Amino acid sequence: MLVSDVMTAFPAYVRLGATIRRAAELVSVSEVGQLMVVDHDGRFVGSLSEEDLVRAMLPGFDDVTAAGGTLADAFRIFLERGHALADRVIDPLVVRDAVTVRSADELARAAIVMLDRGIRRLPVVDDGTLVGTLSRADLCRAVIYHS
Amino acid sequence: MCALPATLGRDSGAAAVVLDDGTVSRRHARLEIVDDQLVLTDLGSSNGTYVNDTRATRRVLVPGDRVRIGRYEFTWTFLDPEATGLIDPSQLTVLRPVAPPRIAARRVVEAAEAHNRRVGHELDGFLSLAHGFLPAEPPLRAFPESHRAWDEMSDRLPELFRRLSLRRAFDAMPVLDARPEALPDRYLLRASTLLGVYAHAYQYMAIDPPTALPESLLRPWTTVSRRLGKQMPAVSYIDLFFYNWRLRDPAGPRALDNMDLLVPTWNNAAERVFYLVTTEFAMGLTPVLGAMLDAQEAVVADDPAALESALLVILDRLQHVTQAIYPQIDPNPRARHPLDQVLWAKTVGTAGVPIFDGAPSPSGTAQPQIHALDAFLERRDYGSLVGRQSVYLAGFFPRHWRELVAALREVSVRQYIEDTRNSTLRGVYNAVLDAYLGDRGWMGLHRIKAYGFLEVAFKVGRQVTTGARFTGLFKDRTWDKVDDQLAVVRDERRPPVGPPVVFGTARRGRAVTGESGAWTCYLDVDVTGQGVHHLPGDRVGVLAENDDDLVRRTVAALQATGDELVRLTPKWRAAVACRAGYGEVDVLPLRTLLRFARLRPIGREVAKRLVKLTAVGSWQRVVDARMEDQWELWDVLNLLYAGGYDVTRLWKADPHEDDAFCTVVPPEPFRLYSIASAPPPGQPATTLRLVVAGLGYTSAQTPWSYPRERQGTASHFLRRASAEGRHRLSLQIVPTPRFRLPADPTRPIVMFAAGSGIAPFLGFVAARTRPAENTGPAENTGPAGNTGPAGNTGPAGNTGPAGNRAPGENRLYLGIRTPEEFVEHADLDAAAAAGRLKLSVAFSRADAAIGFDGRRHVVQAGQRRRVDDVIRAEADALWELLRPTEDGGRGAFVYVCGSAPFAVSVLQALTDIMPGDGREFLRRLVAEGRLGQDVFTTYLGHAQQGPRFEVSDLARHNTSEAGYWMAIGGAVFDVGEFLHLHIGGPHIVRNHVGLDATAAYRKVLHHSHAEIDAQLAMYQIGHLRRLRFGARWGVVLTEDGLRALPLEELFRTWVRLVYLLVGMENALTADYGFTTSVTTSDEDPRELTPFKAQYVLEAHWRFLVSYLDGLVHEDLRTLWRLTVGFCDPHMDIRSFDNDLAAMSARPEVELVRRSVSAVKELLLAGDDFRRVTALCHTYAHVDVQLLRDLKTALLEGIRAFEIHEADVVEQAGATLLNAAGEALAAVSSYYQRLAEQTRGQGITADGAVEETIPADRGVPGHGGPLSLPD
Repeated sequence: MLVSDVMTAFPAYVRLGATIRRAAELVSVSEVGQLMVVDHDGRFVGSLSEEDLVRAMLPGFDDVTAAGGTLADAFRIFLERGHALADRVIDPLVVRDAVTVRSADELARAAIVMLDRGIRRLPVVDDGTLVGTLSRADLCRAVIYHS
Repeated sequence: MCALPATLGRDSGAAAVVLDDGTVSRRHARLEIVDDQLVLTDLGSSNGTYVNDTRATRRVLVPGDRVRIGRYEFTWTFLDPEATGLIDPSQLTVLRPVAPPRIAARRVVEAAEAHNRRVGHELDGFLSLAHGFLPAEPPLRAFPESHRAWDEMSDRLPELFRRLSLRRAFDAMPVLDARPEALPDRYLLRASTLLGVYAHAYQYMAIDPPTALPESLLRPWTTVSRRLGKQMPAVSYIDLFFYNWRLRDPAGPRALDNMDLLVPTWNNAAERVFYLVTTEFAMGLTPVLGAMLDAQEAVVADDPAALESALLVILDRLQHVTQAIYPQIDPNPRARHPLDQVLWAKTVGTAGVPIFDGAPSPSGTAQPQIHALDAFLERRDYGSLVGRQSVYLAGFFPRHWRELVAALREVSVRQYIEDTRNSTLRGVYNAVLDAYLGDRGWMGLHRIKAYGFLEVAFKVGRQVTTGARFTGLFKDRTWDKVDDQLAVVRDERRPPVGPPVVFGTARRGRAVTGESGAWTCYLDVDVTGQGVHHLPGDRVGVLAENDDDLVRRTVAALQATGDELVRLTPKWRAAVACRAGYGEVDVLPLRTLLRFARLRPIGREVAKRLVKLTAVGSWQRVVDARMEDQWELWDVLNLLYAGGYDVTRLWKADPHEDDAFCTVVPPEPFRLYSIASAPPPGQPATTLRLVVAGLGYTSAQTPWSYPRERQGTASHFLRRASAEGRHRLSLQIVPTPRFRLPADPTRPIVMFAAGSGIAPFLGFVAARTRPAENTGPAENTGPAGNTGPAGNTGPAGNTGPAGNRAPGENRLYLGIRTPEEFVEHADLDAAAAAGRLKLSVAFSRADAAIGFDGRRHVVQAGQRRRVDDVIRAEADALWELLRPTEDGGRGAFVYVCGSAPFAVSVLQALTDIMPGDGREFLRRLVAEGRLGQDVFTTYLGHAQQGPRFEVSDLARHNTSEAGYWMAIGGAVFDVGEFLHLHIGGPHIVRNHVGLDATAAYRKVLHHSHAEIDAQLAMYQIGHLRRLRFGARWGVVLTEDGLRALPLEELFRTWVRLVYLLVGMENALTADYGFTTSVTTSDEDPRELTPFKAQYVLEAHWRFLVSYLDGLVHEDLRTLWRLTVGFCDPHMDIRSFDNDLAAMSARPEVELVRRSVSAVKELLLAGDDFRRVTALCHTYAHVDVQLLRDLKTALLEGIRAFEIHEADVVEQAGATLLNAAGEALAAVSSYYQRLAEQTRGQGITADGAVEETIPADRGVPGHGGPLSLPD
């Protein structure tokens, strides 16, 4: 079975230069943890994970001590940062050397790289063009549930 | 074989007997029959023909004459062909070079002996067959009149040390001339020792080194050193050990009891024992030199018998020095020559560290005997730190030693043994290696002993060994690094020839079954020709195999056929190589692998590995409940399979993977059994008798296990072997130096045995009652004559010649259940018939007794009772036997062999019957080497875990008032009495009380030595309770950002800190305990001398910087931060730092820290010692008190965890924070109190600066801080 048999052909994606608020909106609407990122010509650039969005809001040790030094301060900064992040562009958070598969790849090949690298959703890219995504859920559905 | 007449010569064409030697003429001599007589005629040879060492031209030979031509010696047999038809002709002509060709090493020794004789001194190196590496002439005891000033200083050293006035005295000593015209060669060695010791005393008397050596020492010492060929002055191994002794009685033995130091420094017990035992150790190895030469010559002469006897001499000497001489370094304070480790560390331990940069040290790696043995045994690798150091030091050897070590490498004994495949030689050679390098051999014992010394020493502030320098905070465990070095260096020696086992063949034995179904099997193992030499009391390790049924079940549980090939790990390869019939194999069929694997019961390590691999919850619960020992591997595999684990991974995985069978399951280890037989002294054993008690039990019915019949692997394997006979067994002899018969055969012995514990005593009785012609006095029974107990420094060995006195009485008390279990032993009957044995048997489950009818022991009517009942009934007679000889008693040796509960009951009964302080009596018995214990684990099949204890209980038990507890592997032990009995001395035990000592216990391999590990059970009182935190977690702020931390991890952080505090408290108590020891000769231990006072100052300073700073700035701070995260989100994480900074800025802190150097100046000035004394007492008191206060504060928090477990944050968060805060407050009030006391003594910190710690130079061992002046 090939990746193209199983993949989600219309992936949630966002363009470079979009705001983090836009990305957050897409994450919440699509319920996808990993957004694909394309450039203005529609070429695949990389991916943006909700994990990185959340991490960007977490303060470091010095941030906390500068703001009062208590755990409650840390929790407050978390909220403030989220607020402040919303209007910035996503570009610095994009992971640009993302692992990809091709639509003609064997499914098992994709499964192996996902497990080994801890990836939940893989971009499917043919000749630089994003053609879909493949998630662990897609794999389970196609290989186990439909078997 | 040749017919007569026959010609002997070099020419193969002309001679019938060809002698291949350049000194033999082509036609050299002729043998012929003339008038019915055998006549030898020299045929005009160039180098002559010798009969009985006289040159002969024509001579009639008679039987017994020795004929020598060139390097050949002839023995001859005259055959009458009519009468003799069955002799193999190939055995008849035996040519053997005369008194073997002289090997290189022999030539070196002979040349050295001749040279030293000729020049009249031994400056080029002591070397002789008679005295080995020690001087042939005892060290000189005085200089000529011109140098009396040097002699006179010697007696004053202890007093000068005590008063810290030593430097002034040497500054005032005259500068004497050490040039050849003033000081003849023969005094050079004495001068070297004396001046070296003085220089080091000058250097190390005060903790702060002097800026330079005084002229009175430096000038003559430099001159003497140059005359001895040393590039720079340094104290050598010769100076400190080989030329630093004198005999009290010049005609007496060269042994500790008859020796004194020639130039003592402190003249305290530690110095005396440590130096003189090291010297005696070298003396004890003296015969090894000749034996090595003999062995190499035997190899060249192809004479296996001579090689065997030479190797046996080496084996005997190695065992003797390891088991009898070395243990005289005995940290037991009741011992004959006690050596306190703290005293050692503060005085002797650092005294040899070289003064000058780059100078060689008198470290143990400078021992010439060790270099010679290494060369003989062909060590090739010297790459480790210690190895490199040892090569470096050998470069400073005197000429004769260097030549000898090089020469010993020219002949390979090892290669000869590998080539000849002679099993006897292999057995003896491997025994030599084991005695030298093995875990229970010299290096192994040295490592364990050194570990104990180093740990104690580092904890009381010693940071330098003569070999290396290690620095760090208290918790860095620097001594572990030193110990790791010792482990590495052992691996640089070469491994045994072939696997380290001997092979035996089981004979058919018999099994006796009691009423209860319990059986005991008597099995003889034939070890003829294996080179097995052992002493009565030794054990033998047996490699067992699992039975077919168990293997079948396990194969099925693994979902395999059994034919699958499994690749072995290196550890498994080594184990399989020990099996008879298997050599170097890389792969085994699964079925065979399972036969050799440890399948039952499941060990804790394996259990935990399976938890990690499988994440099966039901198994996790079993392991948490510590019930894994109720399971066998196949059981567990079925459970794991049901939990979804793919059990086939175990045999499919590659050997390097975590889930490979060989990684998860260890090979079956050697199971130890006491040897129930004894070979005649000096003879190899032909048979090993074993007494094997059958082990069978039913696993427990609990929520974590189910009832099922279980069997002991080894006992059932041996029973099968004894039923079938002819089974090949892989064996290892395990010496038991602490379980030895008294050297003096007139001493009585009293033996207590339970069940199969009779085994070693069958060997004892056999050895003690053997007919007289075989025994002889213990001193001269040849190679295996050292039957004395190891460490027998007690009065035992020294009661004078046993000559005409009657042999000692033998008493054996045996506890068994019923008369069916009583087995007649011919040896015991014979001994009783000869009046040499009194056997008394206590039946615990039958009203019976054993009587002796003059010929045999027979069952009679009697009362059921236990051995301890018998002890109480015979109290008076036993007291009479056991009482020390100097007290009018008979000084009997006592032995106990049985399970831990049995040993406990016997020792308790003995304690009870002794008049006065019974426990003290027992402690003395141990110190005198008169109590031997051979305790074995009897698995009761049911996890009897006893009461549960909390960490807070454990941590409080580290004082004499509260008692001493210790945790090992989750179990809790009361070691209050044991610390008096510990072979390694009380300091090591006290260092680990009140905390988890598992790591230290394993570091010295106690867990893998069954004979030691089994004794633990005697002191177990319960287990540590495991707290349940569920999956609770919290958020903490760390330097790395916000983290989620399991609550259990927070608890562990608390426990680790409490254990660290307890460890520090233990160490500091030992440190300050130094103030009550005798540090220099003839001092009142209660007096705080200036010498001791400087160590109090040093310890106090170390406490401030090495203990307290790390505690507060790192450990307590981390604890506080983590706890805040869990307990108070509104607390500023920096408030601890703020509080700490505020505290540190207070003037009290500054005063306390800066005043130390002021007090030290006061001490060295020597004016106002009273104030110094007062402050020293204060320091010792408040420092320990602070650690206790900190512990008390933190234990409040630990209690909260124990009470609330998972709910601790909600229920007692404030208690936790408060406890951490209290800890800091304790530090603050410590500084306050101490500042008041300091001010009270009129000390201010004006102008003083805090001392800086000198940078670690990181140079391993060679050279101190001074550079040598030009």
